[in-house]
Amino acid sequence: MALLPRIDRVPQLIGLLCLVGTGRLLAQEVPDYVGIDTCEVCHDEEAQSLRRSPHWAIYRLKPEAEQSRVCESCHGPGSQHVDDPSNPLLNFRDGSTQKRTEACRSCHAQQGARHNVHLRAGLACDSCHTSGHGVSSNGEEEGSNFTDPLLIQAEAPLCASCHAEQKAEMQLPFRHRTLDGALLCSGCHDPHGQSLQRTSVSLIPDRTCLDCHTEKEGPFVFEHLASTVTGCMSCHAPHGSTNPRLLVRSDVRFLCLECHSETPTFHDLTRDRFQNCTLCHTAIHGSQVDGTLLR
Amino acid sequence: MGRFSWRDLIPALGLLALIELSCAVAFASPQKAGAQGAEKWWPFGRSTFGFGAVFVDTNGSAEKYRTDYNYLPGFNLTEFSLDLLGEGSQTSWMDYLRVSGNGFGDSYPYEQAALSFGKRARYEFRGRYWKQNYFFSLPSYALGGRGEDSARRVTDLNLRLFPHPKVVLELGYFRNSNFGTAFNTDSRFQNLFQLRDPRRSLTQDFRVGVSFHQQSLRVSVFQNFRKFKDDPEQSDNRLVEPGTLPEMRSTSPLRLSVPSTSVLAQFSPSGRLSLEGKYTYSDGHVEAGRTEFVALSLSEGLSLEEIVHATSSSDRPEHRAEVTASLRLNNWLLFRNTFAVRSFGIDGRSLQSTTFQGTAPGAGSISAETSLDSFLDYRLVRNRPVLEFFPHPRLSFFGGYQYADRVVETGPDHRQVTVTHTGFSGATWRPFAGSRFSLQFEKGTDNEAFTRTEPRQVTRWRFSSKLPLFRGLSVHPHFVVENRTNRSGGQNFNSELRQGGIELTYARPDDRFTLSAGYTLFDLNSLADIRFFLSRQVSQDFSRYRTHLHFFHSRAVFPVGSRLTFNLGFGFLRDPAGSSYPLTRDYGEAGARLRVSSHWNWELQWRHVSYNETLLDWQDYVANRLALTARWSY
Repeated sequence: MALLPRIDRVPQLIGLLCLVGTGRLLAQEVPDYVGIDTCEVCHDEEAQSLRRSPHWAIYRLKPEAEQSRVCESCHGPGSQHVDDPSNPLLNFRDGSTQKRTEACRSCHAQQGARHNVHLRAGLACDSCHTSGHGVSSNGEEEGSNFTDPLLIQAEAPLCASCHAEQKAEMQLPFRHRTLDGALLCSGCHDPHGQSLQRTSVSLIPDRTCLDCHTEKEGPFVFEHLASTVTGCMSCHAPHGSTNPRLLVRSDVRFLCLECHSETPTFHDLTRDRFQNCTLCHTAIHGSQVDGTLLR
Repeated sequence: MGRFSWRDLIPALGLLALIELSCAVAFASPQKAGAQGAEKWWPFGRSTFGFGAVFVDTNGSAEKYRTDYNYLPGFNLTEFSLDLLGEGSQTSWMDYLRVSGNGFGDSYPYEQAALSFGKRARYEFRGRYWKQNYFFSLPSYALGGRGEDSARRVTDLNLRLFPHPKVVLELGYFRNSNFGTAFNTDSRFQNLFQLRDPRRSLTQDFRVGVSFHQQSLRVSVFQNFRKFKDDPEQSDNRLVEPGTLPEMRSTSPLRLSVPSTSVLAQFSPSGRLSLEGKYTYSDGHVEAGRTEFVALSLSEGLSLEEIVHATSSSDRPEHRAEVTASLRLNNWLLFRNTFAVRSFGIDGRSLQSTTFQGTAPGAGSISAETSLDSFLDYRLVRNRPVLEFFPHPRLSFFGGYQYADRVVETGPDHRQVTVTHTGFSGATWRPFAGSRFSLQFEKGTDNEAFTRTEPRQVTRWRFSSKLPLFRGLSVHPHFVVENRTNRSGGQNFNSELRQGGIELTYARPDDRFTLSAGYTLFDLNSLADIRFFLSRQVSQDFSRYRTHLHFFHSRAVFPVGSRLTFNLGFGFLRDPAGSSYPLTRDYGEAGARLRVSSHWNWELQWRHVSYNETLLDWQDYVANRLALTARWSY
């Protein structure tokens, strides 16, 4: 018990800690802003390209006293770095994911959840986006380095650079034409959010398909419960398939019979006609007038 | 839909006019800037304008080629883009403008354009236009094909106003039309009609919203009004099975309205804690009708007509809510929990009257009325806690558990309760810059399955990685192993997926040589037992689907001199005999790009495709496509 601190000395200890803390704070020199003209003395190339970036344009709209802080708004106040160049500022090449992300979030706080799947995978904002400077502007390069959200390359190849599995699926004969440039990955996925919380036994169907395929959404008086309850992906493979209409089976009978066993007696499955269920059940996504989805 | 129409070029011409106008502003304003000292424009980034021609030669099934690729010969506006940015413009009503688009003309199965402009801290406008052509060859009945030559045209306009630094007002309009020709089928009296089924549905959304933020709190409220209409008129033009049905036609007018209200709230009282809640309520209403007329020839001079009138209506109120809390306990631990609720119901009724009347003298008529109720009540509660552990900045682990309780009622005596438990975990390791290894494991169980193929047990391993070998060269090994089973109540379903591959890329900003190649094996073996009637006897058998796909793709781009760049590519896809749908597809491509000047490029691309399938060899084809493009960039 003698080793434990006595309770009556706790206020004294707290007071001592406060004194030490205050002393450390006073001893620390608070860095100050120096402005882009000072940064430019050494970092001429970066400053030149920054002056042609959207970030520069935004800072031109700020109060005059803040306009020159365009470099330091991301890298931090630079006075100590000027005094001693070995004293580093935030380096976006080597800094931790969290620090780099927080630097961007100081302005772009609304861009997605603080702890989304990409951050968990070790990606920071600058893994996909550029600040607008230090990027090669090779005029012959395919795609645009200066697309709207300042991506480091066109969106589909950028996503495919990590998501190799999906890139491979999009080489199949039937696919959403994302790699051709007709669609964007972000048209279905939210790279900043948490919408990728999907598991193989997820009970919420993917409604993102219905953003484009609105005529399949209904509401229907008689819904096909497979799509209502288990989702579009119970029958379709969204990234790519060898089967027309991105179906997960080459043959309609394989797809339907796996769920709808024990068909009525007049369904003679030895005949082609009854092997192709959608020849009669044409309103396969839902019907307004017929409970058996015949029309 | 692939045929050329001048109307298709109207949006492109409109945007081109905007480009011209913008260029005039861009190049005229610097002189003005000197005079007025208030406004200065310069083209930011790169502006491009590309046009060209496509030539297609097909040997074999041209319809199947169109089904697969849908490229047609013709002249095209392949791409255009323009970025303009204003500097320090205090008086102008616009300080940036972006226009872009591609795929306009005869040849491409899609076309799209985007326009955005605004003034920072005042307003922002974004417009998007997108069109996709769909083509499917005429029905191959054994496989369930359905002929279609249609298109979807989407327009999305969004205006955001910033009347106050903490308030955003939003107005939006979304239009989605599906139009063209499709074929449908109708089964009647043991005969099968093929029907022309024109597509002309239209969805329109009108939305208004307001967002407010105060320090760490952000609240948004949106109101959306959806209108959907469809007026299909089906008419027969061909009998699949020769019969006695000379005429069949129908109309099915449909009107939907779905108003919905959404609320989003985000609250981050500190850097460690963030809360997010979403709630949406919608109340859909359907009004539909159907009229059918069928004429049946019974014998010489005697026929029977069937006239059907049906009306139906339904309401579908729906609630969705989701709350996510994230708490960073310290630098090593992060806890996140997501709780979601969803419920909706369908309460509808369909009334149908059928009249049979003979056309022979003295023949009478018989009428019958039927009523059919539709009822569905769906409720879901889901909770998902996840704990993440960061022992090192380059290493992280996560693990979680999902509980879901779903109730589906389709009638007074049909109530199904499904309880799902899912555990998942994973790790991500980045041993050095640019590298990544990610492994995930998931195991889930249901107490009951809604459909026979909804798995009651799922086990899934997923691995992906990125490994830089040396400067610019990286490999991406990846695999998925998944088992899904459902063995209960006399059911037997088993699906095994084995997918693995490796992608290789070489790209460096300072090197014009790039390489991309990949190989993937996709092996799916699915087995489901089925019961069916054969000669009025119940038979039991199984349905097996098997695919064992190998596919490979490669593309290399290499420079020859300072002005010329070549590209070569090759790929194949093999699904061997023994698979449910054996096929072989090979492609090869070659191209060259010549930089005529700093602003002009010429490009020639050739692509060869060979398609060969075992089951239906009449769908085989060999096709060559040649595209010549000139691109101006500034």
